[in-house]
Amino acid sequence: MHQCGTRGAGLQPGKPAEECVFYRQKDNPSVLICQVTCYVAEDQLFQWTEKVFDCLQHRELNVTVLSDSTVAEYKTADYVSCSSAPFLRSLHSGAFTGQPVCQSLEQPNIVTGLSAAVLNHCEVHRIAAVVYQCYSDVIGLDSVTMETYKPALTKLGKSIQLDPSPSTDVLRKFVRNTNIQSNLYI
Amino acid sequence: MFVSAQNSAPCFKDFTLVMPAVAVGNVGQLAVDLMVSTLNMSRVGYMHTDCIIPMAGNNPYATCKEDVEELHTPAEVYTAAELKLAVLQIRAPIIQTKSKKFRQLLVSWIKASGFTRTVVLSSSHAYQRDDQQLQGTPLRYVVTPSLLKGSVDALKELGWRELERVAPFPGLTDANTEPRLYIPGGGITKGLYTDSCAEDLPLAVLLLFCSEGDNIPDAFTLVNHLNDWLHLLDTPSQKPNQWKIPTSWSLLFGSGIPPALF
Repeated sequence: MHQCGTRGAGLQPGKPAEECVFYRQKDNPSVLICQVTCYVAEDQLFQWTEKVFDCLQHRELNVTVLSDSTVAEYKTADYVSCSSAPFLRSLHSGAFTGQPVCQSLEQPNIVTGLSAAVLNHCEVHRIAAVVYQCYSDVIGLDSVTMETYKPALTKLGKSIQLDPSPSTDVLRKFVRNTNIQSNLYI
Repeated sequence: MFVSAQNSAPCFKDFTLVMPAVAVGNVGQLAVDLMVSTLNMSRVGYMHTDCIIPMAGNNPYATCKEDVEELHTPAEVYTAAELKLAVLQIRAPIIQTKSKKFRQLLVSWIKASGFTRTVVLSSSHAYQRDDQQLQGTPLRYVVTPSLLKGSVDALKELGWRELERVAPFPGLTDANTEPRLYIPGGGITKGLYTDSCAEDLPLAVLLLFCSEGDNIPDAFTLVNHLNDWLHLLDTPSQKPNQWKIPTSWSLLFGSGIPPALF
């Protein structure tokens, strides 16, 4: 994988880097993965999206966004009991012709932030795009939440060389790193 | 800014444009929702701009299973060709630092498109009314000189109340200061009105004094008021409600209640 990207300003030692990094598979250069761990202010979302998409070839471009939200933001007539979370919902642009791997996001729910900015851009410029949003009832990261994205990754695995079932040891490493930062409830 | 949703650009010549201001209670936006939903208007384009906060969702006006999964953006233009009516719906806040830029983009687009008149549906803080304004109807209007020329008789017949100008420094009895237009909580309404006067655009503002809360009744009041002038619906506004509530208005105050709560 090649790595190229920008690091957020004002890095502090010991703190995880806030950044936006692009990865490209060496054997499959037509696939680009963007990992965003920094905060993008709402008045910069449009510019961020324009800048990224200006570098990409629009013809036959397929965009998949993996996003998350708290289940408290999910509105439904029947009360969503904790046991149903985490679950996945999708939203796609008009140019998207595939079949989303999960239910479509029902009214009156909406997406905001980077996912929305990307979807807006793709809708207006007629680029095929799909957002998979995971509604979770836990603040941190856990393997159950990560596994919710599995159907989306399995589908992506058809065009990217991806292991849809990494070992639980790999997943546990990510979870452990997040837990160390919060000692509020020890 | 305007991007057509079809392969060719739509023609707006001789059309009336109705648009909301993002204002207190979101009344203008709710009223526009009622119009699009009831008149079965079709989307003809998007306002793609960095001036509005991004959001996305499925079709807010879906009536059947087939048109549910249609993505909608924060600012879109709909038309009802048989009524020569175009509507701009705005679903997200306008970024404060870009509000002047947004007004300029709007004015240029309105001019370039050739709309015969523009109507801005807006609202203003009810608590800012003075003693006189507390009595009578909460509805007001303001028109640019350009629109006043052609609509004097229509407005007189409707018996509408023009928005009162206020003293710039309340309490100071200096006779030299001109009363000015004041629309607190109206978002870009006042700015858009003054820009339109400067550009000689025929523009009318219809506003309602209201407070934040359940603004659905306010939306009905405003849209019926507009209907008295534009006659969008065949039936008179006194008859039982003819406006169709869109599916996106469900759960305005949150999800269903957990049964275990009681």
